[in-house]
Amino acid sequence: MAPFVVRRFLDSLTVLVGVSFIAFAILFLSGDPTYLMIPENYTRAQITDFRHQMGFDRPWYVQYGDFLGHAVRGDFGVSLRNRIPALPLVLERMPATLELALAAMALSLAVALPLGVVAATRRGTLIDAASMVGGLVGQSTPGFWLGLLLILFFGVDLRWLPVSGRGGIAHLVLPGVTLATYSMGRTARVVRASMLDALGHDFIRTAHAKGLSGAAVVYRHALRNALMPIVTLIGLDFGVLLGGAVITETVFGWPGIGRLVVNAIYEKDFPIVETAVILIATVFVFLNLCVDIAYGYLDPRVRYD
Amino acid sequence: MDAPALRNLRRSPGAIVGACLLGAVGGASVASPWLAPQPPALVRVQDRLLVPLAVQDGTRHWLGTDALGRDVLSRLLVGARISLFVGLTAVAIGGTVGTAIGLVSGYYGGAVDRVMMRFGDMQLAFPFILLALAVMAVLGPGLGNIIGVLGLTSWVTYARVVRSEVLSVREREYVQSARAAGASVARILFVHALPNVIGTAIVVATFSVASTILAEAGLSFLGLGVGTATPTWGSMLADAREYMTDAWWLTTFPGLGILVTVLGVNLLGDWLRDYLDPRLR
Repeated sequence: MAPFVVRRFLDSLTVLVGVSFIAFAILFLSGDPTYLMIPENYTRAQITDFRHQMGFDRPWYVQYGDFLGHAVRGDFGVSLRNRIPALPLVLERMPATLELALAAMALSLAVALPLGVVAATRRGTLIDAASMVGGLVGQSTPGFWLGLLLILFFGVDLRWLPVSGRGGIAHLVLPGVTLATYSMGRTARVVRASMLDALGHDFIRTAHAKGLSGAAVVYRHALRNALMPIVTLIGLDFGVLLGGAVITETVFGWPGIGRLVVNAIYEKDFPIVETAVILIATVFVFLNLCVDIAYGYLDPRVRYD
Repeated sequence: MDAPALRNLRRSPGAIVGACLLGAVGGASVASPWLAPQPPALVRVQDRLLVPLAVQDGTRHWLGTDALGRDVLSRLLVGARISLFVGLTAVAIGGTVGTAIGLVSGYYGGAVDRVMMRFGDMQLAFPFILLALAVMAVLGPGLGNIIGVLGLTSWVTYARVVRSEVLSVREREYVQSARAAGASVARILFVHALPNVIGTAIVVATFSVASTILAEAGLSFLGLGVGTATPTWGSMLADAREYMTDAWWLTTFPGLGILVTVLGVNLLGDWLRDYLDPRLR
């Protein structure tokens, strides 16, 4: 197990170096930031001096090496807009984004797991058909549109819930539902398929034959064996949620990384974009590392060697 | 499509609904120049924010007008064209590139395979929409840019699926004997391996049309999509935000358009998966 964890960890590090390169390349290709940083009345000589001082006149690989060297020490450069270091600015927004993503994840699982299990155990019934059609509709609904409709109905017409900003649980409801809908539909469908697969095994018939109650068979025997694909999906879904948060946060004025990135893009503040992209990718890579390691505990059949 | 496929399609209610939805959207988008009651860009400020079904100067605005007095139905029809066009072309690019990489990677293995797959891992480490957003921010909005970005960020799934199929096909007897008979690599890949993996790739492509249409709408909503000159469903929704409380129709219809199209694609994709490749279930 230990060598596997080490190898997988090193793999993740390589991926992160690649991520930093892609993020750097995007920033580099966006052009020379000099003109965003200097006053308009600079002379040509002053511009040359400034570029040299900032190191913008060096070849790209030197700049990348420099960037990577600073990045591992936690220095991601400064925001071009307000000259504040980029990392703290982005980190400050991280809790809000994680709160929203985790709430959406919890909501999605709370609905999708039971729904998928019920659909699988009552295969072919009206409940099955209705929940699967519902899942497909959820997967096909653009999140930002759903968000607008929810704002219109629950915020503007009924005035039940706040439609903007971060605060207590009430503020979390509408953005949480908006963000959860897609993964809810997808997870419910995967849970159903995975459960159907597990319920078809011989050990299920044995469990029934030795007189176990239906619930014990479903939850202790079938669901446990159906968990693997579901856990994989949860890991991948977290990336979808973090990405989806970009749009959801914009719709609901949620003060997270997503809204920060979108505003930074409008203002051409690329160090912020780059830092946020690298941080989100880091969270995602780390999470999927945990999922891989969790396999070993969830399923003793998985051997790492 | 061959006759058995059509017979199978008729037995699946979901697939029939999906085909009808897509047929309606596709038909409407093709016929939009004749169906549209007005040119989609025609501004008539005196007719602004008319409710659906309103008649003004002899023109019936079935779905109302927007803040500049432009006919919503006419703009929706043009939006359908853009959505389908972006979805189909981006998937064609991503699918071709990804399938080619998967074929080569799976057949040769070794260093080529390791480099390509690790590169795919790196790309998958980005939430897809974030990568697209960052690239669009650098390139700027535009139809060609969005198709390129959405196409080239989606190759990994095809490459992975096709690669794993090729890995098993490579060891089969008929491929071994073709190689022994002196068949070229290109011949082995295109004549022996490709027909075995094309079904899987088509299924992946179908679902990918759905996610591409959603991504395009999301990026256009943020102002980083096709650009403001062309009406797209995403940008119509972005414009609608300002008038949300006064004009419900501006928010409702473009979103319904996206939902109906994506749902149609997903329903057809479900059927296609069961028909072409039951193992993917």
